[in-house]
Amino acid sequence: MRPMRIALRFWLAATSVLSFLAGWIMLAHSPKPAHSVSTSAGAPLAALAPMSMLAPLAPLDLSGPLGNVGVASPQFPLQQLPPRVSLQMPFFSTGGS
Amino acid sequence: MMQVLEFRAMNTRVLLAADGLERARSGLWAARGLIEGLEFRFSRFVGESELSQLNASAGRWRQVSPDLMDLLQLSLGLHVETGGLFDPAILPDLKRLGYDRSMDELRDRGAELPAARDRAKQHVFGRLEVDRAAARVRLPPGMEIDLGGIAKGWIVQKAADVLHSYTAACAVSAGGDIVFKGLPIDARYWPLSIEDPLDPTRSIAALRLGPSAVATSSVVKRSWKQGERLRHHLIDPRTRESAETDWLSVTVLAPDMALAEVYAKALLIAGGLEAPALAAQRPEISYVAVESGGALVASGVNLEEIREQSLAIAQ
Repeated sequence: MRPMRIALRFWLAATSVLSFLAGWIMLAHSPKPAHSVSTSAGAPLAALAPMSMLAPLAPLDLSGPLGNVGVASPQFPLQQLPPRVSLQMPFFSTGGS
Repeated sequence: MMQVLEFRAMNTRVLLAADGLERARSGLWAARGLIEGLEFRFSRFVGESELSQLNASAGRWRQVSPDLMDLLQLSLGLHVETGGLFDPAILPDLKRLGYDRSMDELRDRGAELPAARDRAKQHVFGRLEVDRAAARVRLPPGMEIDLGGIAKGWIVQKAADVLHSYTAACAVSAGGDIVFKGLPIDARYWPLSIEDPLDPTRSIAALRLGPSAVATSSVVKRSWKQGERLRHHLIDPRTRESAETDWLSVTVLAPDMALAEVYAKALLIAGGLEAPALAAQRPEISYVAVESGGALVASGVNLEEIREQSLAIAQ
């Protein structure tokens, strides 16, 4: 019985160590999780994937007794398009209101 | 590198442009947040706006926010300076002539025939009482005010100031009210086109500008029919009717947006005879007017230069 017990202990210890090492090696060689695009990587700007951006919240005005009355209105849906980069000067025109 | 952000606010198309990359982008969002936070506070078409509540409390003292106080005091100063030609208290007359709903509705459904004049509602803006120390104002009974144009200009100026704190060169444009700050790195000027008031798809003049504010007033754009009469939104406070002027539009260049906005209105109402004297009290402003026959009249701007620039840009 005693040799059997020693063999079993040795087998359990050996398989534990080997499994741990195998897991370590697999994790070390697996693909990295995707990070958000970094602009410091030197990639041209046009090649960057567009990031979805949230519009900033409307600032609260608590300075007056009326607070932020009328600040928010559901009349116009917010357009969440991010700014675009333009190599040309935008076109400005004035025609009156 | 110019970053551009476009969106709708204040019932018009807004264009923000800023020179630079990440910081400019942050500035664009900050400026947009400011515009969207302010746009409904001074609108007469939003019942719960601070301005509507002030109009509803005519006859009583009412506390106002520091922003509205600034705007009212600015308006009072310019009302006096323009000899009353700029007068936000013409709102009852504007409503009487049919402009009691948004311009889109007015064009779709037309205006009802004018009601009789209510003398109790005909006030001059100078009768507004201001208690700055207590942050309160009092409109005389019956007075209603419309801060539409000057409020829009004031918001555009504020947005430009905020954006300029993020970038050396930027522009904020809202329906023809434009503030240019600094100069873009790769350009020596900001290009500006003045629309033909009778055909907005056509440019009538092209300018090359440094840091400045630009506003245009026109009697053509916001016009409607009331019965058989053609009305427009520029009320002459002297007659309490749509102004009869020999000019179709006036574009004013000034160091500040509110000044440009108010003088564009006042000069257009004044017309060719009175406008030069009115503009002379502000040497820092220039203007380009379009006469009813289509000819250009300018002060402080070289017309020959405008024509050459227009030709150069067209080529």
